[in-house]
Amino acid sequence: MTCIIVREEQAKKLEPSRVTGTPSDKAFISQAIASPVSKHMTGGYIRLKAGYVKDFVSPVDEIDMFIEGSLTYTYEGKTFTAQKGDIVFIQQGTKVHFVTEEGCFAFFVTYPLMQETIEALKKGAQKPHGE
Amino acid sequence: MECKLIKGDSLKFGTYGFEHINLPPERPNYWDTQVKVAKIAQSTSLTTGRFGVTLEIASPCKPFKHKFAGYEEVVYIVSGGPLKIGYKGNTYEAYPGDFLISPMGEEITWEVVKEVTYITCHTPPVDIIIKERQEKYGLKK
Repeated sequence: MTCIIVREEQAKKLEPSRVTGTPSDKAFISQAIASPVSKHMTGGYIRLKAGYVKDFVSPVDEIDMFIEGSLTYTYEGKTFTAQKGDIVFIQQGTKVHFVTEEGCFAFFVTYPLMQETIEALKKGAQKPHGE
Repeated sequence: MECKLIKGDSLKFGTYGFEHINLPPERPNYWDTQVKVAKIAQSTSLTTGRFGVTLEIASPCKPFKHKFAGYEEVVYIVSGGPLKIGYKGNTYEAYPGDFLISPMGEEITWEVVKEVTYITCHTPPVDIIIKERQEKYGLKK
């Protein structure tokens, strides 16, 4: 284990998101902090292009801080829009509907590790609460 | 289950104040008096894990040693700085947009050159860390 720094330039190298299994043409992420550097958390940047819409059950606890644009969340019948400087916290297992008309850019951190959790879920090793 | 919005301009800052994880032996120390803290979120249930997030504003300080005893932390620099981190003979200057990770048990040198604002994401959450420390050292809040 070591203490490391990931520079902004490196951290912002985005790739098509494969969170749902297939590469997305509207969602791009980086995993600047991931296993094996961290045993517990994944961190990076996410960019969603205009028109991105998604219904999602979060497999992890997640924090997002918005740098550009906006993203509208609908959760249990309530709707709110996060903009630059705002922070959104989503607990593991929460069902959320996302939509962005203008696109957005944010930094995120998840607990536990995002990719490992998703793969474990695919194998049926665990299910987020509420699924 | 929860999904919540925290407006950036709604955050209320306080200080850790005589209860921070570095106690003892220094009381109060830098973290108790020179760092403004806004708790953003935490989850501690068995189903959602042990995850906490704070936004902190740290005042300039000279280098001092800090050990991440009992917790792992990811730091994202929001503005200001640089934050200088010394680790095993190397010094890193962190600027806005950079990420830092300090695994459990690692000791670093912490120096704030100019006031810096950063988000810390840690496991376990701060309240749990403090409680465990208070129990370990017999401290009462």
